Amino acid sequence: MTTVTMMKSNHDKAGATNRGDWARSLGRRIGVVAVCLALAATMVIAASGGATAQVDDPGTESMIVSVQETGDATITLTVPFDLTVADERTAFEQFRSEETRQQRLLDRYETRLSNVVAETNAQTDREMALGTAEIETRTHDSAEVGVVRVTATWEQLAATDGDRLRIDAPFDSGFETDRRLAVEPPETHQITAVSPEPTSNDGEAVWERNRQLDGFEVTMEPTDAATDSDGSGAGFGVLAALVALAGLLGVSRRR
Amino acid sequence: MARRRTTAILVLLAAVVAGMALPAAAMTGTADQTSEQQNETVDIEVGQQLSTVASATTDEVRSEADQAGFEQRFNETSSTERAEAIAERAGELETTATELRTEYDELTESYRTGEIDGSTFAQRIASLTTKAYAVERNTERLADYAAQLPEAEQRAFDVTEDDFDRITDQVSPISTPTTSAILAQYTGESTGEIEIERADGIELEVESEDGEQSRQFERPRDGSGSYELNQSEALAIATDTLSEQDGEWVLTSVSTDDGAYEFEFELHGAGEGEAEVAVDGETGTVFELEESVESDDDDDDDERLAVRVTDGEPAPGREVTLTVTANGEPVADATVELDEETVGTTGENGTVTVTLPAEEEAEITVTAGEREGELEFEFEDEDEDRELGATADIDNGTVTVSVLLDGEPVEGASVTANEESVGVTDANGTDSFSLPAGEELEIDVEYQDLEAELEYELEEHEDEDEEDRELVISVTEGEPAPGEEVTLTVSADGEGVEGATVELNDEVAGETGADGTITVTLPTEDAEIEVTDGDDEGELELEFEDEESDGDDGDSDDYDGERDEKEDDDSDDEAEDDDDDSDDDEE
Repeated sequence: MTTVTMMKSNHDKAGATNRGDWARSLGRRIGVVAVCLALAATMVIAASGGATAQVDDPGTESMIVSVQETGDATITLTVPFDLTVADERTAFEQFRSEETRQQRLLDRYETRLSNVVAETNAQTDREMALGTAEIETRTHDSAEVGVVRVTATWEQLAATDGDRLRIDAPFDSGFETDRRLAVEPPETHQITAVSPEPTSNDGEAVWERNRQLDGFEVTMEPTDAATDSDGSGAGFGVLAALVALAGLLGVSRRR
Repeated sequence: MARRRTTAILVLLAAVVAGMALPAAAMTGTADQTSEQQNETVDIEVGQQLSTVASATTDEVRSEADQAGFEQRFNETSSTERAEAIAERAGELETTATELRTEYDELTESYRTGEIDGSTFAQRIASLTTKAYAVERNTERLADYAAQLPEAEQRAFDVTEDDFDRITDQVSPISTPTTSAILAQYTGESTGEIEIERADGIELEVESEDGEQSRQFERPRDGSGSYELNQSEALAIATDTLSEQDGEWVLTSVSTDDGAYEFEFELHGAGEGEAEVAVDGETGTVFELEESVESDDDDDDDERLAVRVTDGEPAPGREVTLTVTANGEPVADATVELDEETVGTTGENGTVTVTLPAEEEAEITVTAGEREGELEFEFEDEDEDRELGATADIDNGTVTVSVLLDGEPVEGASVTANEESVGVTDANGTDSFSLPAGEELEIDVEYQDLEAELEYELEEHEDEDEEDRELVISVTEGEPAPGEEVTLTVSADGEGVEGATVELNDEVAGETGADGTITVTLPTEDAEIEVTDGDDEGELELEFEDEESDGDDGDSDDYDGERDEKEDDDSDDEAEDDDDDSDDDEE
């Protein structure tokens, strides 16, 4: 008996995860470059020069809403464990190895979430449905953090109007964040209007915990069509342009 | 009666709600607005449901992982360490339970003062309920583990049934049928109506569409801990507070504690129902109530008997007359048992006279054919029994017994091992002696008129120190690949083991040197390396990937072990392993 082999596989998995994250952040960086180009051309874009949003911050309990172009969204709940603390490490490692326990949790989550999806569906004119749900465990070596991620696809969470995507229900009715909430637009899109004011809005809109989200609305538009503002976001556009200009100056000064 | 009042206030409230454009939750009502409302119906919004589902799921991940971690530790450790692991886990659960209780008390206060509205209040109750149930469930599991320890050890480590009850008591107001009914509505698992009534306390009332009703309330205690009322007076008050049902509330348990009467009831004659009511023994104030009723599916009420005290005041050693009825009619010839011993049968009028035991607890069960009924008493413990706790540590042939009373070391307790006297405890409450021969060790401790007993089965009469150690094999030099020469290091508890026999695919390859290392040439196929040193064993399996099939460059993933092989010892080995991996990658 030996730990060597067991840990090897863990190590591998973590490595793969890190590579995946790296690839994703590269993708995001490319997205940011594209955004900058569009910005330079049109001067109409939403950006903030504030703190950098880190949607994947593994050490924070989060709900991440990752929107796809189709209007479907992946909802991810992250539960972090501090692997530098012996008890947390044992808890995480043991939980990761017990599939029955994970499955039991996932089943309960699926049942509950499907009720919420059905309820929200009844209040909107979209064809909402719950897609696949999964539970997975990841380790982030550098941060010494283990994360349990519970994900589920919420079909048609975002309303689609042409290329434009909008998320409101169910976050606009009594949703209370006792964890960080992040909304990630599809890579082809950017957030062009958001309410209430997020804690940070750097590509993704992030609200730190304990925020009331009454009147919640996030609008996302294709990055290359950002000029097609139809007026509804006019005031916002002007403000955004100013903010963006400030942002650009900030960027160039930093270089 | 309570229900009728509720309805009247509801009508008023409905008028108010109709005049409002926004649902209750959307307005963060000021203190003035809310304090005028005596009763409100809670609107549940989908956003709140999503919040509840998210926090419930997160809580469950945490508590399941903690539980998994505890079980892992428990299965790995020796007897005394197990007791320690249980005590540590109990401590964690108690901390969580206390925090939840504080949160609940603060929440209640915020609602009472109008700081938060009913909708927020109910949603937070729902979130607390998942946490409270997790504490309750994990405490019950832990109690099962603790029950495996000798009783004296349970006492020494404060992990007796009473200790676990204390933990679950903390979360008792948020792990009730009512709060779980609220939770079920917030997770969308059921639909119905939630009402909150605020008077001098807070009452929660839930009705589900499937006909389940539950309610609970809590009020501040106003008595000073004395008993001015006798039990039947208190019972009359309690019964009066229960909701009116088609059937009859039958008392099943009475207990007295800290100046209060606590009654438990069961609903007979209409559906399934249970209730618990706590009455202050001095003022007669009902300060806690919990009630839940499910609609009737099948009529099995004939199977239940009701037992009542119709004469005498129940107390330890007192004579009381009991009357046994079924659906209100006296039942003759019912067998009456007191603490599982038959004490008589009922006469024509359904009565029997029994003398209650002098103990703090009495359980009366009655049977007539298939029908059964019960009544339990738990009387307040005037001067609580002092119980002796003891624990034994066996190390290197020496047994050290520690004796505790109320958490303090006991000096002068006499200790016997396998019926031979082995001395008395010193000022630290400990007594050490040589481990006697034999496969069993029975330790008895006596102090004044108190006793404690510990029993151990000794496996092969072996000192704990000489328990089998796990040998760890690691590749410390060379690249593990088919046909390659590598240096293996065999270690136990972090130190190299000299003279361990190393077998490669069942053939002896040699013995380890002074630093625990040996150089071997790996076979061309998968390798199974086994080492033995006396009774100690270790194993490492190397599986080589077929390079032909996937064209792997052979740099990093040459071997992949068996995933289901788990090791009890942890971080040191991991670190070693990680090093190995990076070495491989670099080469």
